[in-house]
Amino acid sequence: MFKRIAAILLAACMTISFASCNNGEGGQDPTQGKYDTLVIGVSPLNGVFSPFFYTSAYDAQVIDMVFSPICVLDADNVMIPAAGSISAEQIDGDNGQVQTKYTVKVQEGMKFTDGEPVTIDDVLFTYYVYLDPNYDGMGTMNTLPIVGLNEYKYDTPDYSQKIAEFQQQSQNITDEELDAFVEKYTDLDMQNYGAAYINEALGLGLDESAADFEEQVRAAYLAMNMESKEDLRADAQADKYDQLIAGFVTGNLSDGIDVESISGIERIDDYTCTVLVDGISITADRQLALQPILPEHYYGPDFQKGDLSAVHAKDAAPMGSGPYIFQSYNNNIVSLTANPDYYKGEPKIKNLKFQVVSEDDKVNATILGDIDITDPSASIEVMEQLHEEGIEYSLVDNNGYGYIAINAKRVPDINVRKGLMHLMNRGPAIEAYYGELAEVIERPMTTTLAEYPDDATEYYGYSPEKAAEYFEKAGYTKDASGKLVNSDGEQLSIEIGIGELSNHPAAGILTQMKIDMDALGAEFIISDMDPNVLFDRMQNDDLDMFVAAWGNANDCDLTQIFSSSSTVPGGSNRVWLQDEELDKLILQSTQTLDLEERSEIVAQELDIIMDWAVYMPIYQRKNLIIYNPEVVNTDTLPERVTTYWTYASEIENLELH
Amino acid sequence: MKQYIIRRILISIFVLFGVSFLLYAIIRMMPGDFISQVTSGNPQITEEMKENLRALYGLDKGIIEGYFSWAKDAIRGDLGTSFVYKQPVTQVIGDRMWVSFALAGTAFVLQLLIAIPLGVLAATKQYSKTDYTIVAVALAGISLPSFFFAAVLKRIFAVELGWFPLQGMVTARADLEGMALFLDMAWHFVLPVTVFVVTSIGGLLRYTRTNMLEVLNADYVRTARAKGVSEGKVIGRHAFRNTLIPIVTMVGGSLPSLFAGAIITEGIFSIDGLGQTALNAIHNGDIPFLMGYNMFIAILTLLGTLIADILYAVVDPRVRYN
Repeated sequence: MFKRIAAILLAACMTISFASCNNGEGGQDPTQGKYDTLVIGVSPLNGVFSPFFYTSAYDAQVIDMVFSPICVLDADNVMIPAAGSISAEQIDGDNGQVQTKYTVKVQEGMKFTDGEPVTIDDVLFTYYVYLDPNYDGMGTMNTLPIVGLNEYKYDTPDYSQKIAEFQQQSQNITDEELDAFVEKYTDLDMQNYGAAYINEALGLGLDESAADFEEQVRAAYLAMNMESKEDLRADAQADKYDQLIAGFVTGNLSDGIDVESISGIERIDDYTCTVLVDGISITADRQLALQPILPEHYYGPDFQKGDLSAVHAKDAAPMGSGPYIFQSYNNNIVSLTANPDYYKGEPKIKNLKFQVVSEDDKVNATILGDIDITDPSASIEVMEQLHEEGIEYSLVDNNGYGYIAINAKRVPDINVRKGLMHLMNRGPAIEAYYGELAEVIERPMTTTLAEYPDDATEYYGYSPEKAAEYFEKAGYTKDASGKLVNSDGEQLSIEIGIGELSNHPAAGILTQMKIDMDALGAEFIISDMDPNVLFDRMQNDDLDMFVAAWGNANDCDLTQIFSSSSTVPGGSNRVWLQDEELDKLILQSTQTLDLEERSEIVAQELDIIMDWAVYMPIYQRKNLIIYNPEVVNTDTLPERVTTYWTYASEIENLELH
Repeated sequence: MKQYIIRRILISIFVLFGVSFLLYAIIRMMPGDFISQVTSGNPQITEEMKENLRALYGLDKGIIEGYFSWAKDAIRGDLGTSFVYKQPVTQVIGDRMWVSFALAGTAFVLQLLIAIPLGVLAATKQYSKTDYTIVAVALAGISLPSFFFAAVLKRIFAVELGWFPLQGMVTARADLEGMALFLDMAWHFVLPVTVFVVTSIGGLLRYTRTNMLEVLNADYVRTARAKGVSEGKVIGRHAFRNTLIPIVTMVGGSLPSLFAGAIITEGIFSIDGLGQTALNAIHNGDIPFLMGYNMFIAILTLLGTLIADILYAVVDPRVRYN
């Protein structure tokens, strides 16, 4: 019996492998060179190929092939015209403030892949989707102060008056309202954290086995909150304001559309429009022009303000005017074919496929010839393997950086923070982990930005002696048992959160810190946790220190990360850096169009941040792109491959063997 | 019987309600949500934008309120739209379910074909070299972690020998259709199916062996032998048929695992099945998908146990449910 089964299995396997061998080379055309299909390996796709709604960087790779943006970034992160162009002009607005008028143009004679012409109406349609009150994608165009945007968003012509009213109303909180909010706040916490957790976290010491345990915890917790209810007044005000606003928005759209269009956006002719933005901004032109153009006749015939379902319906089937035409996505493979009408010329490679490959297989699958181009994470071992197998590659800087942060709300004494800074020995740790694939940076900004101060020097060198001095300045001395304690006899204790410690470039730094802190008599707790937990605790100001990274930065605007306004709950300033001087500089830098002048301001900003001792930049790492030279004609790659300019930027010129 | 089935189905509805609420509460209590996941690390996102998005995705509601709004739609068959995949949850599950089923189903059939005969063989030759070898191999299979065994198979059969593809579902470079596509896919599934079969065959095999041994020691088998019935007939007709009873119920109970997908194996071989999708959904806090997926598994589990119980009555005339 067994023998027979084994024989059948073997025969089946052999038939299958023969069949596959015969068909494996089927996609070739002898007149066109050996290969006519380029296979790009990508990490798992979500299949959301809509520029409006994608959330994965790998979906974005597919999107980039299907759509043509108005402008693109060149190799040096400078915006250059592509399917269109943008120009700016400063004017004096009605209210006496400076405004910027952007003129957006699209090239004449371009066609979408279904043959319809590309006009400014498609650009306007794209803008209106991004700016819709119910837009639920991750695009940030709706953060721009476009004239008339708020009136459109809140669907009311007298928006500013309403907002002022709401602000006024929410400031006046009655005692009853405050009490009601405290109850709501308590119940929400009870719901979200559970009675057992609250009991333990607050040290209430109630008996869990009691029948009315939950009510007891709620009562105790409510009493605690009531006692400190004045602390919650600001939250209560914000809550009331949110409620007023929320009621306002739904209230406004449900009674029909009152504001049909955004007054600051104007159609000039078939190929031109203007967008009026309050103030001067270094990012507004990018927000407006680094956008793909989506065909209105395809995505938008049923699009109505406030209802994006018709636009969402096309999420899985993109159509644009880019170098390739989307054909299908199934079996984890996206198939695209060359667009003969592409405005930069028909791509030389006929077929383009994106195949899902797990991170661990990217290099092996390239060596085996299954895929031709992919982006494995760079490590010393991977680089050795590439050299051995003769696989070609490009190394480009990642547009982000890794850092160690200290929460100033939890560690308020700047001397303690400075002491901790002096215990971070970055060089050896980064060298050991990355070799030449990363460098230590001295300011919290990616070096891919032109504004990064190249002459910046080390702010806090590694020195346990200096750290000891700073701790002493902060009032910490060694007691009889060798513990580092303050005047109240409390030991210096710091908890740092990190995700995936076992394979983290900062692990070496933390280990050294732990040894040095132990030697000094202080406690240093390294908490290794799931990234989601880390993020949650960081958001709730529940960690003294944490290790994280920023990505995706192509401008030097530090508002979200370092301005005082971003310390609100959920904001990105999770180190509680609140500095008026810095706020002013950040605002100034975002309005300074001259690069040299702006760089000087940014350098000052970064010095202030360093002096606060809340952010220790660790590394600027490199991203790896590998090419299989058997298939890809690497002579046809762009001359200079950088963070902002890769093979994909000139895909129409790429050739295969 | 009819009454019994109706009663079981009615109870199942209550069970499903309880299960769905528990699941919803647990999913909502996971740290981090979809919005913080997709916006993390992006310095351009403002707090106002995040709040607005949370409201649009219904994440600003409390657990109780959120559950009832989910349940209201779910009863009407609307499981919502997946946050991550931006498609109706039923479609996301429907698209990937058959891939997972193809893998698990093939592996399951192979498992039955291999495990049952081997189990019977081991039992009939108890304490012989054959028995020890079969049991030792089966145990080795159970003990192998799938990620490790998959890595070994890939190293040997894909990287070194080049007999099978390293990963993926089809050959991307070739535009295959029809039968050729089917064969290409089958070729890609050989290694993952091998992982499934080898790592899970031991359970069924040992189950068969134990049951067979029990039956072989039963009085009626001894009587049959005493009557002079040939050994082949004793095993084939008298012993094996009775061994089938518990096996059939076990097969019924494995219904959910055929559709649920295999998180690890699918991930290692880059197969777009439900397991891999569910893992991605957990990482991203995709509440509608996770609810839909978990309810799907819950329904299959209830259905599986019901089928097992019914089959029990079918194959064993001693069992009556009325």
